[in-house]
Amino acid sequence: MANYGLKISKPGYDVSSASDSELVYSSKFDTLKVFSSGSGSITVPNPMAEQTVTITHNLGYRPAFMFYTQIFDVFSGSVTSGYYMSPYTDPVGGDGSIMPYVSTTTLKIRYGAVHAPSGSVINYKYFIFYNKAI
Amino acid sequence: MSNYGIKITKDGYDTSSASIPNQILNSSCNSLKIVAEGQTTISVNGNNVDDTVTISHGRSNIPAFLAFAQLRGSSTVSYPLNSYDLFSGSGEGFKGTANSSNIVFTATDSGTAYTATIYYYIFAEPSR
Repeated sequence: MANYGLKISKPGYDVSSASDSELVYSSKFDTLKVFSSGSGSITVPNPMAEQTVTITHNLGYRPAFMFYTQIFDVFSGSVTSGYYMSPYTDPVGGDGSIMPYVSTTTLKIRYGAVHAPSGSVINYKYFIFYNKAI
Repeated sequence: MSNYGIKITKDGYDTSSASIPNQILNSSCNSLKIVAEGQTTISVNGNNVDDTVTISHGRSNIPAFLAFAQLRGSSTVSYPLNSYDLFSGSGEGFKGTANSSNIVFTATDSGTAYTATIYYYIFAEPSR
């Protein structure tokens, strides 16, 4: 790559000599570019059963993504206020897991059958990037 | 920071008043800079033992990274790091770790040999 472009250094660093990690931005490097983001919720059915959330992107390739979700905290007996980055597989996976995966058309999140009691409302948030996952 | 720098906002937002989440670039905020990305594979033996692939990152830090894997359960979807026991009971798993020289991805399967396909991003920013 020729020696031109846009660089912005962190405060206190000379942009002409700053290392890559001392830069706030450099046009030399790609970044994660958000294609779409959103939020939603599920309500655990009665009786408890596996649920799958489907988010359509139609990018034609498998995109990188990040997914965050509330969980049911068995110690407090309530849904957390905080959001956990997924996959969430406490304690060992299986039907207690919350598992996202991506295809060329959709991001799906599989909530296992026993991840939370019936009636629990679980909120989630997602980011889908233009960057590819394969 | 003084009131100077570069801001680029999302469509429909005024650069002079848009909040940071509504900005695409703000020179007062760091960004995750991708210094390398690529595809690799792991030959999974299916004997419930971790199989690995090692990526030399060539950085002077322990870099942050992100990765996705196509595992045995489906050849049409990708799973993120730390995916385990994909409801199939096959003990599939995928994880990664970084040290000062390498990023090591691990895939496991309890029953069947196959090839896992990994796509990864390495960032300029350190992971610690």
